[in-house]
Amino acid sequence: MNTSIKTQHEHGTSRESDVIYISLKGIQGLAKKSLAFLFSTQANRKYELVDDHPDAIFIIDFDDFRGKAAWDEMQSHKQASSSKPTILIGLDPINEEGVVSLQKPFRTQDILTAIDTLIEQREELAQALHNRYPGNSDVVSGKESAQQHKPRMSSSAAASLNEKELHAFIGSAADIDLDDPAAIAAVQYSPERFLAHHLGKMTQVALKERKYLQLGCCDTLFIVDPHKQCIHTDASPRSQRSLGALPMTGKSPAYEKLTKLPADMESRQQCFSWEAFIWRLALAGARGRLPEDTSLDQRYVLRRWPNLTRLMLFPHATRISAAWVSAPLSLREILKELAVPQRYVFAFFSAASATGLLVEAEPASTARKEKPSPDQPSQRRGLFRRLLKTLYRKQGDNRT
Amino acid sequence: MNDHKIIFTGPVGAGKSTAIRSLSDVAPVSTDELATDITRERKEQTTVAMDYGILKLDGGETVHLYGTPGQERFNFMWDILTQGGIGLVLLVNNARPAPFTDLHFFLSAFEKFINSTALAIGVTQMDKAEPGAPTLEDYYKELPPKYINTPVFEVDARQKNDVVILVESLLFSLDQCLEA
Repeated sequence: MNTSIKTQHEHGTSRESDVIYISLKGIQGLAKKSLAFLFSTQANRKYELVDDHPDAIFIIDFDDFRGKAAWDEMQSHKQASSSKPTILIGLDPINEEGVVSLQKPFRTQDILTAIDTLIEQREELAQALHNRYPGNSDVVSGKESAQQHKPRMSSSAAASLNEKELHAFIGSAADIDLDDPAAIAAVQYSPERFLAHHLGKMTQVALKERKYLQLGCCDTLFIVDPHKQCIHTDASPRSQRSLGALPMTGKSPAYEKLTKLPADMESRQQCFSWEAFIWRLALAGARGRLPEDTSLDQRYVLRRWPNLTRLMLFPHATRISAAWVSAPLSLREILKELAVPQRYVFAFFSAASATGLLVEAEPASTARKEKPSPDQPSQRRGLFRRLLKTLYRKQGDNRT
Repeated sequence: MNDHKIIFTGPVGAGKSTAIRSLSDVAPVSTDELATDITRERKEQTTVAMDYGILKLDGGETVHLYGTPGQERFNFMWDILTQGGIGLVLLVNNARPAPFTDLHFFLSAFEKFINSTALAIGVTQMDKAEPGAPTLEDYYKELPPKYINTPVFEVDARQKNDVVILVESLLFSLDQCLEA
């Protein structure tokens, strides 16, 4: 029996290509209803539960005999993990190669992230095949791409997923010698070639002139709204990383000023906070690199704390914020003071600069707040460390 | 063993009880009762004494989470409550008619405590506020200069992650050299 869940698409349309097909194996009763409910509450996705489908993502309960049987059958038909995107769930750690596995109990976000990861991997493979065989549209079909799809997820899925996201947005570059010009040049990029830079500039103009600014780029429309301080766009949250990460070709995109918001855009009511949107795109474009020509000795300061509860958060971002909001610091100084991997500071620098929050400090400015020097640690530092450790555990991230 | 505590304050309906519930390792003790005065127009129940929760640290140590009473007739308790506290989490309901009045009221009421510790501000109900309601930038503009380094975040008190980030920012405001 096919169970179909038609959730409301964010624009009220129903494009076939947007449907995410999910096939549950060995998941019955309350667990099935819970998952169905979870999928139905995802406003920006349209999920459909199916028994089978060429493009389906399989979620298999390894603790249920029907799930185990389904898995065994998939393997016996040579259609196992290497050919079908699969998430295995179980009480015990599952060590099956080439699948995403989640150990119970897991958070609802874990399963949504696992699905997103599989979709993203499939799309990346499809894109790669498309680039290789541009005339052959068949190669982008889910079925065919899935046959060559080999996810590399381990049983510690939550940690692996976080690591994957970190790799996608922060990169994995090792620290460099800050006195080596060649090494510095190797971790720099040109922000003008990325969308975040242009949207960031547009927000400043829009705020100043109190006008809507429209930019067409990458087959997508963006309208910067100075009144709601948001960006209207058709781009789904899932495609935003690609939009941010892909370098733009050709001449710099030009925006146009609008006196009012187009009615069709207003009716869609999809407007992303510009701080969160640009932050995310900037991270995707920078991937832990620095904008070219950035001086390591110029002091910068945060105008205010980034709205961290609504931004893509990565390790050390809170700490970097606190340091840069308290005193003007150069990159060299903040790296020495915090002693964290350079890529996190570089990523923060890129995102905070693109959003206009991090600015060059006035030459005459001095530290705005007295800070305890490393030689005089806060008397309660031990307590704060233990408290912080507890908070990190609650947050469930894998900070380093 | 020392009694460490973090204080949550803010006007009626700002989410103090909910924030403590989101963070506490034990079922929080709450003294919510049916509201009987003007508070009733805003919420069915309100905290008439205080909320209390616990964060359990490694090694058996605990940090107490106290929420101040929402009703102003209990202001006399605030001085007692803050003694020895680590810092203040101020929650402001952006959907209230005059959130900046609330902001200034609580900054003034807890000035002595904030000056000796640190402050983090969570703005709640931002999604429910009327068009033209203050933005985070507006809150920063409204803060007195001495509080300009204060973290101000949009917060949904039901979301543990939001409350955790708010408290983390409080700790890093106290000591940027801190790392777990």
